[in-house]
Amino acid sequence: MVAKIGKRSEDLIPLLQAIQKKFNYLPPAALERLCEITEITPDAATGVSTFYSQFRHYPVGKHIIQTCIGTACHVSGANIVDDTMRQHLKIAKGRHTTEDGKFTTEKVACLGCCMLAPVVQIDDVIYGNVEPWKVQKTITDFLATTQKDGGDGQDESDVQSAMGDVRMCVCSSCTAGGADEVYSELRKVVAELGLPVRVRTVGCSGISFQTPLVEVAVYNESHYRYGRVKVGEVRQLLLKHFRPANWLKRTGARVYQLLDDLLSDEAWTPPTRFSKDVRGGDDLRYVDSQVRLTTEHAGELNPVNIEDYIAHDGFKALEMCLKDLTPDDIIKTILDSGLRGRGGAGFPTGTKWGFAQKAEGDLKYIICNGDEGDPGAFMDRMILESFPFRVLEGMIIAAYAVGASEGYLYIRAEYPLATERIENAIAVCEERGYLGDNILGTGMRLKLHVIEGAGAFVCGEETALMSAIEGGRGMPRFRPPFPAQAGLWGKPTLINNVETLATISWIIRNGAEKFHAYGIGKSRGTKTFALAGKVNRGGLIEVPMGMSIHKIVEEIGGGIPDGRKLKAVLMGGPSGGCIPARMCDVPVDFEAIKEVGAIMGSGGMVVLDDTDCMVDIARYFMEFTQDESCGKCTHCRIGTKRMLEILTRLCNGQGRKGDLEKLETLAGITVEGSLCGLGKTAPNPVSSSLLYYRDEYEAHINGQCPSKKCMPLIRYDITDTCFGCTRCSQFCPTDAIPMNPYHHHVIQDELCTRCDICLQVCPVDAIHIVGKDQ
Amino acid sequence: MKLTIDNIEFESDEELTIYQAAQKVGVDIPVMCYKEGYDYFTSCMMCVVKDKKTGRQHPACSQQALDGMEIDTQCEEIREARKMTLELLLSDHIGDCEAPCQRVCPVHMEVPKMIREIMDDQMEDAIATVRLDLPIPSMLERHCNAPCETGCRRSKHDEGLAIRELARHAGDWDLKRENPHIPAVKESTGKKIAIVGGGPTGLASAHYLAQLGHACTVYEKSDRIGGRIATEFEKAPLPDWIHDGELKVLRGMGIEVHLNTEIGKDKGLSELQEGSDMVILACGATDPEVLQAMGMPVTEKGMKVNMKTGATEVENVFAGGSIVKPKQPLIKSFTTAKNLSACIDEKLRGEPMVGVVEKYNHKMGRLLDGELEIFVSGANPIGRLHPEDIVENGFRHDDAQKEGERCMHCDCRKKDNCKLRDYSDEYGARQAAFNGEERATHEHVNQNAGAVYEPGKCIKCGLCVRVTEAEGEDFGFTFVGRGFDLKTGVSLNKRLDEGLVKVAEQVVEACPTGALATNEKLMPEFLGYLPPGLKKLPAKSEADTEEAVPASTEDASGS
Repeated sequence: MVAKIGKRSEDLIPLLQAIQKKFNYLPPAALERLCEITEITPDAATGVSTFYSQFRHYPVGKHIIQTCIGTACHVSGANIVDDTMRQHLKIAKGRHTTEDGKFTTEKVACLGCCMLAPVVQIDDVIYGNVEPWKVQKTITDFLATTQKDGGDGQDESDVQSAMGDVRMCVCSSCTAGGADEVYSELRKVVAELGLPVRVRTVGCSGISFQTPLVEVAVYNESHYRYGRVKVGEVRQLLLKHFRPANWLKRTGARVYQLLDDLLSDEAWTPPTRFSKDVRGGDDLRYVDSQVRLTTEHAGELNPVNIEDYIAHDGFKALEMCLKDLTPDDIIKTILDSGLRGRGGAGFPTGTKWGFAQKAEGDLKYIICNGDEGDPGAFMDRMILESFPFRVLEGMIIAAYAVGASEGYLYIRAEYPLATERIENAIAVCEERGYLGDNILGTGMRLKLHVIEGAGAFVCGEETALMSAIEGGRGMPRFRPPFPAQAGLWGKPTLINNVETLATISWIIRNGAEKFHAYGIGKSRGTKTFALAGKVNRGGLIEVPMGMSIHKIVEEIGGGIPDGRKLKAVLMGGPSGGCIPARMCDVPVDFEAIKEVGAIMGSGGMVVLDDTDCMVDIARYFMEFTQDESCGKCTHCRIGTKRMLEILTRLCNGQGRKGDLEKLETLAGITVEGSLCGLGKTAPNPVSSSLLYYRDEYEAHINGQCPSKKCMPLIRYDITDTCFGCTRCSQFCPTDAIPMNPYHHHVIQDELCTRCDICLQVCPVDAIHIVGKDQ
Repeated sequence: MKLTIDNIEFESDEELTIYQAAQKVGVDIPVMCYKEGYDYFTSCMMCVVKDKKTGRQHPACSQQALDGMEIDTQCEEIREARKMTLELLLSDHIGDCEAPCQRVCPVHMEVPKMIREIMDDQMEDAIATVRLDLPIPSMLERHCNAPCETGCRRSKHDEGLAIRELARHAGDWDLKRENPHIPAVKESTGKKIAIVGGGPTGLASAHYLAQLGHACTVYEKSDRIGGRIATEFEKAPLPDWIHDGELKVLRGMGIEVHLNTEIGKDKGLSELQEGSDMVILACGATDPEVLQAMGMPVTEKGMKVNMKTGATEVENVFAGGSIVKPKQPLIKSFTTAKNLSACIDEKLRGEPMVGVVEKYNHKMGRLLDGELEIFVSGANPIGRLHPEDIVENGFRHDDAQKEGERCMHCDCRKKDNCKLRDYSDEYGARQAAFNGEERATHEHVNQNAGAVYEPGKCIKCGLCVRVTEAEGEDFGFTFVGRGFDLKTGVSLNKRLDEGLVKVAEQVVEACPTGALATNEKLMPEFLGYLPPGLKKLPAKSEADTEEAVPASTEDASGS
């Protein structure tokens, strides 16, 4: 292991990851041995291995069940899912592993599949829409299915004389929605029937709410999109557009279709269908009010095929830069475009490049920050998975502009597919001369490395990120010196976010003016968002700056499901705030959003409806930041804990007089007294919800949760509509509802765990939630 | 670069931090996580200062001093910020500054220190400790009601320590010598104080005021000092050698004691007022008519005295003890005397009278399950010893020492050398301002290393980490975990003595709180204690099981 990875201090995290991969945890003996045979010191081994949440110090079960507790999953009941999972597996309180050692349950910050919330990952398999009552089914399914091979990268059933493409995304969230099975089925059926079709994997279109999504492109004809395709529907879908190559197969297919139609009750109707060439219709607005620059050619590009990228103007910008433009020209273009850092802070990218360019040093570094930390965001994951070459192209251009010759892509541990695709892309680029010692024959050199994060939100902060790359604990340090002056290993370093870098090539190719033409005020161009939560159509969207939040939610997102009312939109995740429904005409603009108490953030946009409790949301985010705080600064370490304690007791109905004032005091000093962005912004969700929803906080002090969300303040009740079908009783995991056929059922409150299953399974909506004392 | 620090102009070509620049102009900025000679870490935020020009706050230890800055290190905003920083730290701080026995002692005698000095056979030090706060100990300790023994934490386990007997032992030991210990007195202030009455209040006042450098004269109407102590306890009359010994000590401090001198008869009050700067009436329960005759205004209830200061309505005349309120426990007279003396001292210096102000004192509060055992395990488990001869001689020396071993050392080893305490005192920080829902359990790690480690007192400044790293300890201190559960500990779960092979002393010196303190005594046989979890660790085969990993690392693994 050491021979392969290295023995220097900066190899520590990869080494720990390798040890954990082997043992599923870090045995103390392995750590001691590591210190003996490498340059790694014991204090580094202990310090680093206890800092990152990925590392375990105790043995775990054979399979690991990770329940995502990202924001979208949280509002969809992730905690109940976890509770139900533990109940189902009979894991005692305070333990993590089943008696038989088969399963270990964990909570994970965010798997980046927010549109399929609640999401659960078991080993390498991601399950979407795992409502509590599906928990049992999910585990059964996992045990029943054997491990499938990935299939990624080895696609392209290259058919001579193909008449069309069938395109499909198999990114992490589409896979969670079942894309894998559909993709295998597509290939199987195409091969079986000899259809003149190329089955291709493509980058994600971002239409996550329709996953699995199959796009059929008949050459010289139209494009069709099918959403929520099931395995059983694949054959008919293909036959609708393509005819089998020879007679025998044609007959077989027809017979099959006939049989199939006979056997099933209803004739097949396609699931939700989009047609690119037909104008009008509700669904179209999802695509049409968007402007795709950063995610240009979404859903068309094969993410792992460099030829495909080149055919779509790939590396054209790089060639322009290296052959026709000086670094100064490039920086000027970026400055003129008005591009601001897409990681959240919105610092002008051109200015940052200028600093790095002017910094003196024999060696300069460039870092791509792919540590997407907001637990309700997945833009960076999708961009890395779908446009790996575009990210690299942006990085190479940036490196050329500032004079960097070595670089790192720091990617979150939870994004293995992104890491894999970037690693492949780097290898291909090196082969093709886009990376290496003599890029495009110009003599420019750039060596890129991929560093897999190990689970620490704070590593999104640039000084913490650099510390992580150096193999240390991700603890931010005081700035100045800024990275541009003294960054990685003390050398001048440029750090940009994934989305920022992915936008560069478009700007170079189309010019600063064209980019600047989009947007308003000081926010120019477009911005991608991960639209999720209580919205009909979520996914990765890209809109011009200046579009109102309302338009995004209503037109692109298709409004709120289940006839509920929009309550607020959360922006900026744990560092951001809420925008109440009545203020949602605010445009997407760094300054305007800040003014209403939220932040632009990296692009997480979680929609809340009237069943969501703002105190619970504030508590949720505080729990997150408290857990993710590196613990260095007094105010962040203790202040966030004290705020969490107050929020928790509010949610438990144990609030005290003066709690709100104390929250405000703590919020104030935590902002002032913290060194890095994590601490400085940690109180934002509390402050902004206190500003707009103080009445909800006060209600909690009086023991009431107006949204009926906080479990200790509510109970489940069965109305007279109940006709005694016993379904609730059958599903109740704690036997809190005695079975009483044909009679009105009653919930025994002391046994009820508020898992919500009864409410979800009741066929006549007889179960409702009331206040605790009602 | 040219800037101002608290309006003092400063100019330099050197690259300096604000803290360094302030040092050069003689402005002291409080720091905890920073120590000269080591890198700055910027974690505690105690050193914040304000740049008046921009209105921004900066951590002085890390921020470069820049041209044009107008640094303010002491404005209200900054003081408030530091106070809240301290209050956050205090909300996560486990331990007592002073031991419960000392806290409840009405004169705040440093009981645990005295006990350790007796144990160590440092009797000269022991009597000095006693007499610093407690006048005429051998007289008092025969009759004190000893609230300290009730407060003693050991009483929750078996019986409180025999503190009164130990103090008496020190006192008696001293008085039996040719030349007893004379407490230090400050340089003479030239102020004269006349004290009426040679009882507990009068003598104690004389003692405290003499320590402060004032010239005291005591007028006692009888032929013996002691007042109530000499008259109220007929069953245990005060031996002459104690009476004479205590008188010798008082006179040794420069106090004039006139026996057989009754004020109002042998000498008038007005005479005293004229001849001195202050007069204290401490002549015991006195008939109001007599007082009136002396010229003091009285009501039906007796004399009117300001209870906070002891001042009467007559200018420069104070009163305390039974003359104001009779039948109080003896030790109360001493409390009164201490406070009254402080007020008189303040008044003589022209300052407002506030009396005795106690230093910031962190309190552990109610013990959690298992914590008493941690304290007990550091002490001799034997039951309380009782002197064979209670009337004349008290403890035998070896018994006193043995009884002393029962002390659980509840006080902080660094209470006199703790930045957290000093600053909390200076900034008026309150322990309960940001009280948490529940506190962590007290831990005490004494693994025969040069230092004792109490993680509950750690403020995570990381100085121990930097010191052990700089000095090249093999298994130095490191940060463990993150967030609120962040701890510092020895690498790879090694024992403390493995982690502090070379630098125990430096680490103790660097630690700004009592988290790391000198292990004054390597473990005697009865100190068999190891913190929970560590007993199992050294065996490697066992360390592979889930239970063997200490809670700290398990918490941090993000489960």
